[in-house]
Amino acid sequence: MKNLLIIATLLFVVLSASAQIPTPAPAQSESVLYVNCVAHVGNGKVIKNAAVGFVDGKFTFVQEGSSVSKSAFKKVIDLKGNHIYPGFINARTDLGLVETNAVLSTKDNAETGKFRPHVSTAKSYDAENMVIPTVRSNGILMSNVTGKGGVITNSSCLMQHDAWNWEDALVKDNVGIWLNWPQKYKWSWKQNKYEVNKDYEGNVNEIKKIFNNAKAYGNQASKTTNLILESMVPTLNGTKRTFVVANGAKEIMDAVNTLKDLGVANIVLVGANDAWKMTAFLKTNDIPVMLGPLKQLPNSQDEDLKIMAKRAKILQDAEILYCIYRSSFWDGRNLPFSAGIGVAYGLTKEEALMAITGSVAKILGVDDQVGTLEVGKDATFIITSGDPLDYLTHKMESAYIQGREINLDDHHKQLDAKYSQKHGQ
Amino acid sequence: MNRILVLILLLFTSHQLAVSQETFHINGVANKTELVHAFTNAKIYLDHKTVIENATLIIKNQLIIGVGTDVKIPKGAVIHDLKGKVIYPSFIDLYSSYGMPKVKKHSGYGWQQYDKIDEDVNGWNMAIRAEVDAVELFEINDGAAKGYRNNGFGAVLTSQNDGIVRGTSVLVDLDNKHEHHSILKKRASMGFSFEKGSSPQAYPTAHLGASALLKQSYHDAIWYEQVKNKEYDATWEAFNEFRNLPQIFEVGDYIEKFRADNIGDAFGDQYIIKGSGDQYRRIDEMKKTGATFIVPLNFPLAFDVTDDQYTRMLQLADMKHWEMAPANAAKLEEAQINFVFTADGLKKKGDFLKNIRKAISYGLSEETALRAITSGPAELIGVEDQIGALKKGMRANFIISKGNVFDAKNVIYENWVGGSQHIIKPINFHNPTGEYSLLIGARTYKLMVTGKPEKPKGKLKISDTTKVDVHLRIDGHNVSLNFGIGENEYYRLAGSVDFKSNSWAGTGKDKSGNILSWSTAYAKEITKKDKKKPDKEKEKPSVGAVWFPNKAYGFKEHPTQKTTLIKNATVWTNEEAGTLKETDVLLRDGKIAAIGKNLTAEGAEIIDATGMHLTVGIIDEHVHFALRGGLNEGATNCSAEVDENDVIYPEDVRIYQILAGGVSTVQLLHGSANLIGGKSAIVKLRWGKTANEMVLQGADKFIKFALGENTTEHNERSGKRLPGTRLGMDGYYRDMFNQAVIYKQQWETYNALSASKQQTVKRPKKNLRLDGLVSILNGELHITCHSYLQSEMMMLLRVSDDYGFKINTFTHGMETYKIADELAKRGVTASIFSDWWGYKIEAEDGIPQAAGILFSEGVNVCFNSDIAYQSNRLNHDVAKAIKYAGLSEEDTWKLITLNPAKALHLDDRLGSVKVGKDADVVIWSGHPMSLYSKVEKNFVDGIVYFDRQRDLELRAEIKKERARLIAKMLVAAEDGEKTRKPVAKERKDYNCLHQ
Repeated sequence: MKNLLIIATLLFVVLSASAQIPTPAPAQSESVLYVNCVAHVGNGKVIKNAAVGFVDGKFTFVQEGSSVSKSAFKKVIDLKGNHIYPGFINARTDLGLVETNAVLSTKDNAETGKFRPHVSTAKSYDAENMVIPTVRSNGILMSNVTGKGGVITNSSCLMQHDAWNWEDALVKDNVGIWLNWPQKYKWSWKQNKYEVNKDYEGNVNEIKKIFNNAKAYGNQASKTTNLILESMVPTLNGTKRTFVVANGAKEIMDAVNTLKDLGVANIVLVGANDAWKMTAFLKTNDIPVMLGPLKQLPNSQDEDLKIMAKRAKILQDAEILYCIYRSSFWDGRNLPFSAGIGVAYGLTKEEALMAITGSVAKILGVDDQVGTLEVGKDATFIITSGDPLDYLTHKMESAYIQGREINLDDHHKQLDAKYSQKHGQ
Repeated sequence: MNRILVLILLLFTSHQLAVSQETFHINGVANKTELVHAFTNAKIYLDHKTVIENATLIIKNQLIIGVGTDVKIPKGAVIHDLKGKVIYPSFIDLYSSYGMPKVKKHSGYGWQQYDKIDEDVNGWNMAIRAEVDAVELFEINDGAAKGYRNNGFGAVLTSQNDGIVRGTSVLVDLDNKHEHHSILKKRASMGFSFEKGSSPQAYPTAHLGASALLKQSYHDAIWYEQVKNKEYDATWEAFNEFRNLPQIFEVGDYIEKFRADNIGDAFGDQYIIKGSGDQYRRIDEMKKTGATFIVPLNFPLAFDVTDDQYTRMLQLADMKHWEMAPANAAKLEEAQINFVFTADGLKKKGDFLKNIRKAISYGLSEETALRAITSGPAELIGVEDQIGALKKGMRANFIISKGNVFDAKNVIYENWVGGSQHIIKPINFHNPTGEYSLLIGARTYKLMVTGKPEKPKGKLKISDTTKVDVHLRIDGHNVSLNFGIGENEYYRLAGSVDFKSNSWAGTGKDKSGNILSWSTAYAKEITKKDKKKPDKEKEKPSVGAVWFPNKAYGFKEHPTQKTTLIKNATVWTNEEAGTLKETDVLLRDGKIAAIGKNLTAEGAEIIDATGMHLTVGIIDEHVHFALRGGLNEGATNCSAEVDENDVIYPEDVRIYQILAGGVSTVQLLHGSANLIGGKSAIVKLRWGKTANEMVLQGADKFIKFALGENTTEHNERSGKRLPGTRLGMDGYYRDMFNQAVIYKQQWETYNALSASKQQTVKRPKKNLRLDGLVSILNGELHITCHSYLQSEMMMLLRVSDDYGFKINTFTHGMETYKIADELAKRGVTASIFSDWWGYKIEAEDGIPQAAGILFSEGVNVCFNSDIAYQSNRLNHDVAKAIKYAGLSEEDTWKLITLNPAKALHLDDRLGSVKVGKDADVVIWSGHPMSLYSKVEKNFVDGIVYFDRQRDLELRAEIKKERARLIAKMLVAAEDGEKTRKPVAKERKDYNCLHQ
C-alpha cells in the first residue's frame, strides 16, 4: 500500500511535470532599451537601425537609434540587427475557451440560447489552458476571444496571453457583440447540398426586433433591468462594436444595410468571403472587414484559384480597413502565415503585418493601447531573427507582454525534450 | 389490380379481350366474333427507315395480318380511312417501373443494422435482389399506362429498379385490360446499379462497398453454380439462371459507366448502360467501350441569371451541361454509338417527344430518333420479331398520327395496343371555327368562332366597332350560345350542329322569356394574320466546345508530352548531389533525361528558369479528394474488399487546384471508420484524363487500417459496431488474421489437388475480404495505418509480428515520435501532420517537433495533408519542420517528396530529380518552401498540367464562356424556356480527422 502511494505520488509528479504551464512573468521592474534592431512598427513603417525602449510596461522610445540617450535606460541590449514586431493579435478565436475539440467537457465556447450578447467571454477564458502557450510561442500575444453559435454569440473580450487568471489577462472587456447573419443558402447534411434557407426573412426580422427593442429600452426613462438589452445598447452609441459574420455578397449587403437602418454605429464585417467583390459598397459605408485566413483554395470551382489569398490586396487597394484572423483555437498559432500568404499575392510585408497588429487594434477600438510599436502603448512585442510571416524564417527569440518577458516554453517543447531524451538525442 | 375486380370487368369488356382470354371461362354469352380492322390510305412507317404511302394495315385480334400497298381487305373488315394520316409502330421504353409496387423505403438510419433481418431463402445482402421477378409483381396501372399511351408508347420494359442487383424485368404492353393480356416477355433483362436502394442493411454505405459487393456477388454466384451439396439460395439460383439475359446497368453519370465497365470486363459481361445523358463528355472513350446506351431526355432547365449576385454562384459545369444535354443524342449518333431513348426521369411524359424534337434540332436525324424509340429497343431485348416495326405476324402496336411525330404541331390520334384501340384525340373531330351568320328571329349578326376545335370561343360582331363575347359550348352535336347585347337584350340559345354543312339551328329565349328560333350559316374560314416570328427551331443551335473535363479549368485540348529543356535553375535533386545552382534539366519521353550545366537538346522546348527553383513534384501520402460516393465503407469492421480505385472522380477541380500547389502524385486513402479499411488508389494528377488514365500503373497496392477514436465511434457514442473501445481492437485483428490463415490454407489445399480430385471435394468460396488479408499475409498488400497513441501502434506491431506481416506506414501517427526506436528498427514509415493537434484527446500529444526525433532516429518520415485544402500547400506546411524540428532544408523537402515515394515503394521512379526517373518536376518562382513563392509550372510525366501563364488564359476562357452562356440563358428565358434559381454549390472536403 505504501509502495503504491509512492508510485502514485511519483506518477503525479511526472505527469504534472509533463504538462507544465509556464509561470506568468512578473511586472517590468527596470527600464530596457533595445538598440541596433529593425523595428516593424505595425502601421506600415519600418525603422532601420532602431532603438526601442520601454518602462513600466509601456513604450517610451521608438525611433531611429542615433538620437537615443542610452543612459536613461537601466538595461541596454544590442539586438545585432534582429527584428522587433508588435505582438500579433488574433481578431477572432476561441483560444482559452477550449482545450480539446472532441472532448465536450473541455469546450466552453458555445452557450445555449439564440441571443446572448450579455455573455462576456473573459469570464470563461482559462488562463491556464494548455493550448495558450503553444500559440503565444509563435508571437500571438493577444486575442479577441469569442465563442460560437447562436444568433448573437456573446460579447468578445481582448485577452493577453500571459496571466494568472482571466482578470489580469483582460485587456478590454466587451469589445463587441458577435452577430451571425443568417445565410440565404444553408448546407443540408441530410441532402448533402446547399438549399435555399426559407427562414431567412424571419431570421432577419428577429435580429431587427432585438436591436429595435434595445433602442427602445435605451430610451426608457425608468426601466427594469434587462441584461440582454442592456448589453445591446452600447452597440447603438458605438461604444461597443457589432461584429457581423456574413460571407455571401447578398448577406453582406443585407447585413450592412439592415444594421445601418437600425442605427448600429460601429459595424465590423467578419468572414466576408465576397467582400472583395463589393469594395465600393464597403468603402461608401465605411465598413472595416475581418478576413479569415488567406487561404489557397477558392470556394467556387469557377473562381481564380488564388482569389482567397488575393482578397487582402483587393481590400488594400480599395483603402478599406481590414485585418486577418484565424478562428481555430490551437491553429491560431499559424496566424502570421495566414497573413504572410498575402505577400505572394500583392501585399507588402508591412501591409501583411498590419493585418495582424495595428489594423486589428484599430478595428477593435484599442489602438490607443496596443497594436503598434509606438510611445505610450503597451510594450507587447516579439523579437525575431527572421521574417516571422514566413514559416521558412519564422524564428522567435523572445516575447514581451506589457513589458514582461514571457516564458516561451509549452506542452510541445516539453514533450520534444522528454522524448529526445528517451531516444538519447 | 384486384383479381375479382378484373373478373367483374371481364363481363363487360370488349370483344378483343374475350377473344384473347382463351383460358378463362366466360360467365355469359360467347361474344366471339373475330373482327378484322383495316386502316387504309395511310402513310405507314414499316420500321424506322421504311415508309410506304397510300398503304393499308390490316389487323386481327392482337396481330398484324397484312400491311402494304396492295393487300386485300377481307370482307367484313372494319374500315378506318386514314387519308392524310400516318401510322407508326408504337414506341418502346426499356427503362421503367410501370406497374411495379412502390418500393418501401425503410425508415431510420441504416448505419447500425449489420445483419440481414428478413427471414427468407434469399442471399445475405438485401441490396442483391437477383431473385426479384417483375412478372410476379406486375399489375396494370391504367393511370400510368395512359400517360405512356398518350405519348405514343405501346410497350415498356419494367422492373423494380431497386438495389444493386435488381432481378429480372418484364416486357409489357400498355393495354388496360388484364395482366395476362399485357405480358409480352417475362424475364427480358436483368438490372444492376451502384445504388443500394431500399435495403435496410448497413452494408454497403458507399459506392466503394457497392462495387465490391457486386464483384463478390459474381463470385458467390459462380461458386454456387460450381459446387454440389450446398444450401439452397434463391438469389444465386436466379443470378445464375438469368445472367445470360441482356443486362441493364443504371449509372449516375458517364464516370460510373467506366466503373461498371471495369466490373463487366472482369466477369466477361457487356452491360447495356442506362446512362444520364452526359455521354458527350467522353464520346471517344464511350465509343471504345462498345456499349449500348439507354439515354434519358431529362434536359436540365436554364438558370435564372437575372441577378448577378446569385448568378456568380453558378458553376460553369452546370451551365455547360444545360447547353450540351440536348446535343448529346446527336453526338452519340455522330460517333455511331448504339442508343435508345427512355422517358425515365421526365417530370411529364409529354416532354418525351418534345425533347426528342429538341435533340433533332441539335442535329439528330429523324431516322435514328425513330429507331431509338421503336426497333432499337426491340432489338436490344430480342423482341424485334414482335414489336418495334409493322410486319405481318407482329403485334398490332401502332399509333395513328396527324403527320410526322417529330413535328411540333403533330397530333397523335389513336394508339392501338395489342389490337385494342385507345383514342387520344378523335380523328375526325368536328372543327367549328369560322365565320358564321347568326339569324335570331329576323335579325342577323356576324358570329366569329375561334380557338381550339375542342374549346371554341365565340364573339358576336354587332357593328364594326362593337363586339360582344358569346358563351359558346359545343359538345358533339349539341351547341349552346349565351350572350347579351347592350343592357336590354339577352339570349339563351340551344340547338344542334349539322357536321356536313356546319350549320347550326335550334330554339332559345330572349330576356323576357319569349321563345324564338335561331340558326347559323357557315360563311367562311377566318384567316389569321400571320405574325411572323423568326423560326429559331429550324436553325441548328450552336453549342460550345467540350472541355476536358467539361467545366472550369478544363482543357480544350489535352496538353501533350514534349521534350523540354529547363535552363539555369536551382535544382533540388534530393540525391547526394544536393542542391545544384544554375543547372539545366532535360525532360524527354516523360522521363528526366539529363541534369547538368549547359545542356543542349535538339528540338527541345527551352524554358529559362534563371532565378527559379526546380524540384521533383510533391507526393501526398494521405489525402481524400477526387473520390465520390463516400470514402469509407464503414458498415463493417473490415472492408478489405473495397478499393478506392473504383470511385475515383477525375473531374474534381481539386485536382487542378492541387497541381497548382506543386503536387504530382497522391495516395487517395480509404477513411478511418473501421479497423481494417479498404485499398487505396495511387494516382498522378493527370487533369483532364479519365479515372483509369490517372491511376499510377505498376504501383504496389496499399490498404488503410485505422486505430483510435474514429473506429470506436467515440464521437458518436453509438457503440453497436465492434470495437466499442480500444479493448476490442487487438482481439479483432487477431481473429481476422486467424480467419485469413485458415482461408489461405483451404485454398492451398484445394489448389494442390489434381483436377479430377478437385471435382470430388467442395471448392472453397472466394471471399474478396479475406483475399485482401491473405494478400497482406503474402506481402502483396501493404498497410498504412491511421493511428494516434503509441500504445495502439505497439499493439498492432505485435499482431503483425505474430502473423508474420509488416506495417508499412503509421499515418497521422501522432505519437510515432514516442516509439521512434521501434519504428526505425522495423523500417516503418511515420507519415505525420506538420502541426495538427488539439482536435481530439488522442491528438493531445501531437507535436510539431516530432519529425526531428523521428528523423534523428532514422525513421522514414513524411508529412501528409489528409484534406485537400492542406494538400495544395504542403510546400508551406513542410517548412514547419525547419521551424519546429530543426531539420535542414534539404531533409525537410524530402518529407513531402522522396520519403513518401519510399513509403509508397515508388522511389525507383519518383521522389527525386535523377536521370531515368519520371519527369514529375515543378518550377517555382523562388525558394520552394517560402510562402512568397509560387508554382510556375508543374510537369507530370513531362506534360505541363499546370502553368501559371496558361492559368490566366484558362481564367479568361472561363469568363468568356460564362458570359456567353449567361447571355444564352437570358435569350432562352425570353423565348419562354422555364428557368430555375441558382443554388450555392460550395463543396465539403473529406478528411479523417473527425469522422
